Order: sequence, then C-alpha cells, then structure tokens
Amino acid sequence: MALAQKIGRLARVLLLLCLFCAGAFALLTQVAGALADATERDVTYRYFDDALPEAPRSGNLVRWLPSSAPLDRVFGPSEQDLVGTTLSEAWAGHAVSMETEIPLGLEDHFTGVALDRATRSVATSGLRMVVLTQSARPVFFQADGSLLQVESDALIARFQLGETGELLQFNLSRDTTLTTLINERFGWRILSHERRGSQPVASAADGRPVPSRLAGINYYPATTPWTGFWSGFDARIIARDFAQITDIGANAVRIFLHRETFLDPATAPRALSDLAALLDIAEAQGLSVIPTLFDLRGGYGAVGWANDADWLARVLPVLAASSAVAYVDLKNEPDLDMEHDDPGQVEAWARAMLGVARTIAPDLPYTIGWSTPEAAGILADTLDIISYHDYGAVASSADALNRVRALAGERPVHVTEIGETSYSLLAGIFPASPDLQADRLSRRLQALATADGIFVWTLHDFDNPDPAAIGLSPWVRRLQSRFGLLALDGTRKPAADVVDLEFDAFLSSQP
Amino acid sequence: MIRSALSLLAIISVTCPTSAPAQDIVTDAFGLYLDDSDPERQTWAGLVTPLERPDDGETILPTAAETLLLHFGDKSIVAGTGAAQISALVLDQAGNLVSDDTEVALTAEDGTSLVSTTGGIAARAVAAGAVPGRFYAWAATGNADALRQTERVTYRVAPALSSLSTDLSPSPTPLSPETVVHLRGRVTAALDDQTIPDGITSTLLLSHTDGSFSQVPALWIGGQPNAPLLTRDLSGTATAQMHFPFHSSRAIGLTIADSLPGSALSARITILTDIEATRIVLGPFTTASGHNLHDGSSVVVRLIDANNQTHEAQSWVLDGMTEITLPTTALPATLSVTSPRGVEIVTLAPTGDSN
Repeated sequence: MALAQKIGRLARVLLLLCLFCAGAFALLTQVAGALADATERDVTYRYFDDALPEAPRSGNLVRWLPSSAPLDRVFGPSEQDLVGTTLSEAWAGHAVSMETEIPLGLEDHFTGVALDRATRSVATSGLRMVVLTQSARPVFFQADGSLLQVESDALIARFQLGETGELLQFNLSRDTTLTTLINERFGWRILSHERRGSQPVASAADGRPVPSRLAGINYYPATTPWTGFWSGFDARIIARDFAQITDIGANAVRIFLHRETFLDPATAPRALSDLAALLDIAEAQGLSVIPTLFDLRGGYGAVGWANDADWLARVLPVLAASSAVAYVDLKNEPDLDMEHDDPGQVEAWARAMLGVARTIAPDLPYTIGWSTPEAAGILADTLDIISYHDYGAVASSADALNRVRALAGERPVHVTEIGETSYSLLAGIFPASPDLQADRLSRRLQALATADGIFVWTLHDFDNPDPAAIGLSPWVRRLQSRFGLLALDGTRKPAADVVDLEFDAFLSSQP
Repeated sequence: MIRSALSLLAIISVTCPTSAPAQDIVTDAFGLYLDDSDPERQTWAGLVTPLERPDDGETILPTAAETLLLHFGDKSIVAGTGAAQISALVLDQAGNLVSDDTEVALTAEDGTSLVSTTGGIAARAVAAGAVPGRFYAWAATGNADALRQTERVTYRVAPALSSLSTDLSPSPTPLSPETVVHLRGRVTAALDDQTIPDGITSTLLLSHTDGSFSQVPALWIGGQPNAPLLTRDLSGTATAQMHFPFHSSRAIGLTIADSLPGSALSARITILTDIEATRIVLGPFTTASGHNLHDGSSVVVRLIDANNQTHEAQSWVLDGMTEITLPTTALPATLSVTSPRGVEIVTLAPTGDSN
C-alpha cells in the first residue's frame, strides 16, 4: 500500500513536472515566435525604407579624359567635378524615375529638349536603363563657360522586367554619346543627349584557370566579424588565423569585403591597403583567396548601381594584382534578397556588376555564392564557376551537387558554404554539440566529395555575432555563434579534426 | 578546353535570357521602349537598336535646322585686343542636333562668317574693333522660307585704356589765387582710331613743399582728362601728377600765388582783469574775392604792449574769425598778424574795437 502510494505520489510529481515542462516549452515557443515576428517586422520595415525612392547623391563618378583638340576655355578640375556630378546624378535620377515611373527631380539635371525626352522615357513600365560607368572628354567649351559638349563612353545596362518582377531581357552595351550641357542659374544641366554608337559588351570569361580543387574555410576574425572585419583589421591576427587554416588542412579561404567600408572615401584607402596586405599574407602561406564582394549590401535600387561600379573599379585592381585570388564571388546569397526585392532587379544588378567586373578585371574568374543548390541556375549562362551553399538535409547533398554539376557543364562547381553549429541547449544533444557538429560535417563533406571546391563555415566561434548580418533573434544568434571550427578560446573543436581529415582526403582525390 | 567552352557560352548569351517578348523593344539614348508605341520618340536622332539584337542598329538622322540657340561671351571686351566667342546650337524640329557641316552665318561687329556645325554647334571667335561702344551679334542659317535666325544679343567694346599714355599740359606760372584753374592732360600715345568716351575718371595729385597733398578728381571730357583746381589757400610751389588706372603722367612743377587780402582786419578786445589778460577777436579774414579763408588756416599773432613786452600766440581761422588771449593788459599795443593773407599790423586801443 505504502509502495503504491509512493508510486502514485511519484507519478503525480512526474505528471506535474511534465505539465510544467510542457507549459514552459509552450511559453518559450510563444515568446520565441513573438520575438521572431517582431524581428521580421523590423526587417520588413527596413526593406520598406529601402524601397522608398532615394535621391541621387552619387557625386562625380565620371572618369575624365583629356580633350583631343584645344578648347576655347580651360576645362579644369572644378569644372570636371561639377559636370561629372551633374552627369552622374542625372542618370542615377533618371534610373530612379524609371523604377518609380515618376519623373522625380529630373528638372534638376535636365533642361529643354533633354528634359522633355528624359521625362517621356521614364513612363515605360518594366523597361529600365541604368548608366553604370561613364568616361567623358570635352569636345566644345564656350569661352564664357556657358555651353559645354562632351563625348562619353558609357557602360549601360538595359533590361525588361516582367509583371511579377522577373527578368525578361537584359542587355549590356558600351554606348558612345554626345551630350550638350548648359550652365544655367543653378549650375550645369543636360540640354541634349544623343547616342552615336553602341557596342554590345560580351560577357565572355577569359579568366585564369581555377585551381583544380579547393578545400577552404570561410573567414571572419573572431573578435571583429562582419562589419568589423576591415575597420578592425590587424595583420598579425590575420596571419595567425591563416596559419590555423592551413593547419586544418585547407588550401583556400573565403573572405568578405564589406561594401560600405570600401565605399566610404574616409575608410576605403586604408581598407584597400589592408586588403593587399591580407592577400600577401595568404600568398605567403600558400592559401588561395576567394574574396566575396559587396558584403552586407542592402537594396538593389538603381540609384546605387553606378556607386557599385565605382566600388568595383577600386577593389578589383587590387584583387587582380594578386596571384592568391583564385576567383571572385560577386555577392553572397543574393537570391535571399529576391524575397524582398524584385527577383529580376536583383538578377539584373548581378548581371550588370558581372559585366562591369569583366571590363575592369577580365582575367579574374567570377562566381556568385547562391544560398541553395536550387538557386544555382541563376546566371549559370555566364558565370565562370557555379557555386552555392548547402545547409539542407545531408541526405540530399549528393543529389543536389549532381543536379548543379549537370547545369554547370564543364565549369567547376564549388560548394562555398557548408556548416554545422555546435550550440547545445539541452544536455549536449539539442540542437547540437561539438561532437554532433563534427559528425554532421564529416557526413556532409563525404557527400560532397565530388565537388571541385568546398568551404566550411566558419573558422571561429563568435561571442557576439553581428546583428547587421545575423539579425536580432536570440535563437539564431546562439546557433550562429557556434559554427566555428575553433572555440572562443582558440582551441580546436572536434569538427576541426574531422575537417582536417576530410580535407586531406578531398585534396588527394580526383573529382 | 573549359575556358573555350565558357567563352562560346558567354558570347551566345550577350543578350539574355529568357522568354521571347511579344513586341520588339527598341533601345535609344534615353532607355528603351516598345517598338511602334511612341511615334514621336522615333524621331529622336541617334542610334537605336533592338534590345534582342544589339548589332542590328539603325541611325535616325536629324532633319533641317529649325531652332538656333545663341551664346555670346564675354559680353564686354576691350577695343583692339579683346576677343569673344559667338556660337549657335542648332536643332531640328524634333530637337535633335542638326547634321554636321550645316552652314551657319555668325554675325558680329567684325562681320559675318559662314561656319559649319560640328555636333550641332557652330562657333567662331569675335575680334573687337578699335571703336568702343555697344554692338550686336546674331546667327542665322538657311535661306528663303527655311531661314532661321536668332534674336540679337548686345555686347560692349570697352576702350583700351591701357593703351593710352598722357601728359599734363604745361600751366601758366604762377597760377592765380582764388580761381578755378583747369589742369588738362593730353594723349601722347593710343591705339589707332582709339576714342575715349567722356566720363572716365582719374586723379590729379599736388605735392606741396610743406609735405602736404591735395587731391583733385579729374574727368575725361572731349578726349582729354580735365582737373578743375581751386587755387585758394594753396599758395606756394607744388608738383602735379595725373594718375590713371593704367599709368601716371610725368610730374610737372606749379607755383600758386598768395591770396590777396580782402577787407581790412579788425580786432575786438576784452580786458580780463581777474587774470590780467586781454582776449582779442580778429577778423574777418577775407580774400580779395570776398571769401573767408578756409577754416583751419593758420594765424600767428605777435603783440608788443605798452610796457614794450612782446607776446606771441598761434591760432586758426574758424568761420572767418580767430580768437586769442594774451597775458597782458598794458594797452595800447601793436599787433602783427601773419595769415595766408600776408602780414598785417593792427593797433589795439584801450577802448575796445581797433584796427
């Protein structure tokens, strides 16, 4: 009887305990869900803000060439800056007006015939033109500085979006134009603009051969990841970390170039110098580098495309000068942005940037790191290397790789991100643990053994992942904080040993 | 091999991708539009290409000139050596730049020239003639019914003052006091046919022997600078020089005669017994022309009293009078007064007013 009572009491206690746990779990789920919703609203609001038409503020992005004949008035640096700003902002404003189909502020930069034409040209639903780069030379400059005519050589993207935002057609050309500007009361404005010639820009890839097999690790410094990478650059830390990457058996590292840091005139020169130093360190340690461009770029509005082209003109020469660069990843997971921006707009941006990149550094091979194997078909007609990320079920990894390889033809296929968290919430089993991380990575690496390149996310655990990249969800932040092969204290996790073994096997085998 | 395959693939996909549109899309300088959707846009000159076939381009040519936009600058140029530029931006009816080699007549004071357009612009330099003044410029193209012409713009040809050299004309010596003397310059060198418009200013500067200066504004009237100088209270010798913005004349010497005194000088005295002094009010200090001496003209007084004591003091003219207090009451006395009128003797009697 006493035993039965004890068992009954124990059962009641267990029942209460179970009920308590269930209630706590439900409450936790509710809170997590609410937090996720709140975070989602925040993200949505941020994109809504991005979607508002942005006034052009590009500054002078025109590259001026000397006049081929003497002018009646000296066309000096101040005029170059003023007219260059007018031309840059005029076409950025024109592109924004095309997106909105409203002639927003065109009269600021166009006048007379050109204003009529610019206004008329923006009311074409789904048809877009974006001037990416401009080189110009003055051909006539009135002695009193009132009238100017310039010949321009402009790289221009023209494309058509469908009703659901998909890209129907895209064309990249190098146009020769004759633009007449008048110096009016409030400055220079375009009075006439005519297209005199056009050359289609071939998107042919004539790049250096990609190393046959790359086994790499995605890399941010442990204490300065994402937005802090370049502002907190320390060559000693880079050299130490790269040595650890080679210790793990990798022969490549995938890095990220923060867009804003390399765009801001105040930070760009230092960042470019640091980038060259990083490439030297990698080369000295025998590591190939895959720089990923435009890191954390938000929004794909045409107002910033010329700035992005200018960004490429600064960064790519540094990359092209280094033999450590194996290929360039133009953008990390742009397909994820297609949920918020028009898919066609994102794709057109990527095609435009690819075209610009090839005019600047034609010898570099280019890829885009799509977030899933399903997205790897986008731009597959023109990329040099097909790359994607695989965080899906490991059981489907091999099949996904085979599908991507089929559409890639003879081009290399790289899986530029795989990764597993070691974050443990419950008793070292949920959702993961260091051992589970090692086991799951091992199985994924084996499943992808026929890829031409494979990159693990990431070298370090992060104590405080950057909200700008990860978001504010505590759950996601905790998972993301433990994807490293090295623990916060710098010691190797079991996953590092597994990756070491698998990389050794990967690099010694043929695909 | 891989690269060859890639190149082939890439060339094929210059224009990408996907499903064929229902209607051709045409690209032009301002973007792209559906073919046949905008007849007016099809008149915009320049290269147009189908979006799908970028190599299959067509150039739309401009029509005849319809509108000329005139630019002329600088609006003020210097006679003889100055140059401006006249240019015309020529557009057709649709607003396109006209074809190259369209002839435009560009007219200014220096004549009419036929100039061919390049990029829709015809331009030439305008040389300034020797004659200053305000002139017109305009542009025209075509003839008969097709004549198109701009409105006229005006521009100014300013005198080339820097080309002038002048000298002061010699003046009669000495210059009479109390008169307005016109000191005139004469042009000693100038550009051919140069005429100087009335109203240009310069400055005559007199340097007196006592270190003081007199400044006289001068005006160009009738082709020569003229400085009207009132010779009152300026007696003595001086050097005169005319200063222009571009040069200065040679300095010449001048002598200005003393002013002649007008009415006799009178003196009114007041005995100040408390301080044993005498206050003397002298005046009026008039000139032969009836004017008072300038305020501030120097007056030096020397008094010999009844005790044969000598007292001296210095004063200045104010409103034609001066006032002096001397430490003596011993009258009668003899007063010697030195002023720009010369030296005058006044006898002071104990009764009051004296002369």
